Amino acid sequence: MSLQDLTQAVIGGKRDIARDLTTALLEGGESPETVLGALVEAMDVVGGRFQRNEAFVPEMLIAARAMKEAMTILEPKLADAGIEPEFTAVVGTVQGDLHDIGKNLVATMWKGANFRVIDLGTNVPAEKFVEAAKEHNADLVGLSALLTTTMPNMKAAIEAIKAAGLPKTKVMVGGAPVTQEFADSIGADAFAPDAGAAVTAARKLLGVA
Amino acid sequence: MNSVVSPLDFERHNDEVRQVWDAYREGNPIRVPIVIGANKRYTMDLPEANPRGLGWPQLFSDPHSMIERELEHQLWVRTHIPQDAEMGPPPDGWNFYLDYLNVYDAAWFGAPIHFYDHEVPDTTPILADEDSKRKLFDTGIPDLFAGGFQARVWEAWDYAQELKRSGWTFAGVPIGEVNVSGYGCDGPLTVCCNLRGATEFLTDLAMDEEYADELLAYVTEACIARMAAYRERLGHPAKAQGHYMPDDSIQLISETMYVERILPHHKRFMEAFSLGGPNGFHLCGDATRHFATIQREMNVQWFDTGFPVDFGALRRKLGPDCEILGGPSVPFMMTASPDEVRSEVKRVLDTGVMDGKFVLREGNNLPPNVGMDKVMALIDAGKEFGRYR
Repeated sequence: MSLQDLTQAVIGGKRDIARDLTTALLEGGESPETVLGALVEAMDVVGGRFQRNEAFVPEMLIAARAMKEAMTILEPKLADAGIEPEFTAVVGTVQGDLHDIGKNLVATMWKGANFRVIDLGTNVPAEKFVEAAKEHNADLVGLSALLTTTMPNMKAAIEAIKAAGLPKTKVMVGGAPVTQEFADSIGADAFAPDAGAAVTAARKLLGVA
Repeated sequence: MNSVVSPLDFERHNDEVRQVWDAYREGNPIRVPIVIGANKRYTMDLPEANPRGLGWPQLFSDPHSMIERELEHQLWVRTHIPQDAEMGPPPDGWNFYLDYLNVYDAAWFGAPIHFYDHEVPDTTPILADEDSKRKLFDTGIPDLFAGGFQARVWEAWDYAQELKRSGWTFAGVPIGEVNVSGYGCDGPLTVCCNLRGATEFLTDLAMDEEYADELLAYVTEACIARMAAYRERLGHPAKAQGHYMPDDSIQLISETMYVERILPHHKRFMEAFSLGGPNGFHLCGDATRHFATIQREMNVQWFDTGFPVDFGALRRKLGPDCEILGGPSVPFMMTASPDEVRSEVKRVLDTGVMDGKFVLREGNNLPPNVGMDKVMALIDAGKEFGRYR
């Protein structure tokens, strides 16, 4: 039983083992922060494999599920230790678009990177992004779209966020048809070509890369 | 937008189109054929193509609106896009497809259809939670003609037949052959993702294999039964020499998972509707890693691609006899200038993809916000850089 075993359990999507190892490691005296590090490392590995086409969406989803299970044990311990996520991110699929998979993957990766993530779901109007960013004092808003027809709604959301005067809130966009050129054209602060890259791009955007 | 080919030029255009396709089919092409994929969504917000400003809810609820909008769209395409297809009103009748977009499969199984202003309709999953995930197994295969939304689709088809019998015309041309949504299928993995939710079903594939396989088998059996029944009702042969199918969601899974879990279902479709091929496949997204397997396992020799695609590598992998359709991606075309579209066409054509059968098109299906100046840039560049002789 080691931190490395926990990392491997999450990478392999072994939810029950990840939960049991988290419990055992904490009871064995590992600090919550150290255990969190093992989980973050696991999601980094999965994200890297995803970017290199060595892992695909199902593998990523089950790793996320294992990490989430481990976090149910770990989160109270982190709170007790006064360890809070450093950044808060709001994420959602833009108005008119009911597709959730890209948004879910990014939310998972950001949670795996120890961001606090507020998931607004799908078909989210621009004003809801603004409200959530204000309410949660978000560092980052992630906008997802799968349909070429809904991509223009990203621009509307960005304009609403910028108009709301939230100086620290950065906006990242992504989704299968979204490109760097499109992101630039609508005034996004960053673009992530896939969920694995979303963590790196977010860290860079927030100045912690 | 103004017509880019005057009516007097349609005959000359159509002559050139015949020459291009005849030469291509004879294996001695003059240049790459060029086609543009644009369904009704492309012209929904164009007053000249949708003069009454009809929205999707009206089209989905009123057969006459659906038929007239389809023909308004076709007429606009046939008078504005000088692709390698016949232009001008069709001489013998309007052949069309009652196109209820990509919602028909899930809606047949009972998924609710949602409409949003200026967006294409979509459905939401009906098997998303633990309590509901098996409910379709209990109810069995939906009624082939009246299940879910299909009752409305066939109502529209019946209405089209009435119009045809009455001698109704559009732009002076009568109705010809009419086909319906549900004649094909969007692919078993895609349908399962729509019914269960993509996140849930892709997790099932990895963690609850028995359920995932059961749902895939159920969807495959149901869709094959529906498609067979529609062929029979329309008087079409049960099987054609080749069968064409899509399944965009395979872009989300590994090659191993595809071969072990999804390919057997694709083979069932091919066995049900193909006399042996060559067959065809449409795959949007980043799915080219599966192409060689699909080609080998199902005699697929026609691929309609999406993005991103390395066309040169694909040609080398699939060989010269495999027909590839593709070109500048639609995300690219949304932000590129006409000059950039032109350069991209040249780049694609220079990859070696023309060393075999290649049809230039946007990849894949024009969104409404791509202007005609870019479409024309694609067509003109194809004609300039896609020449064989």
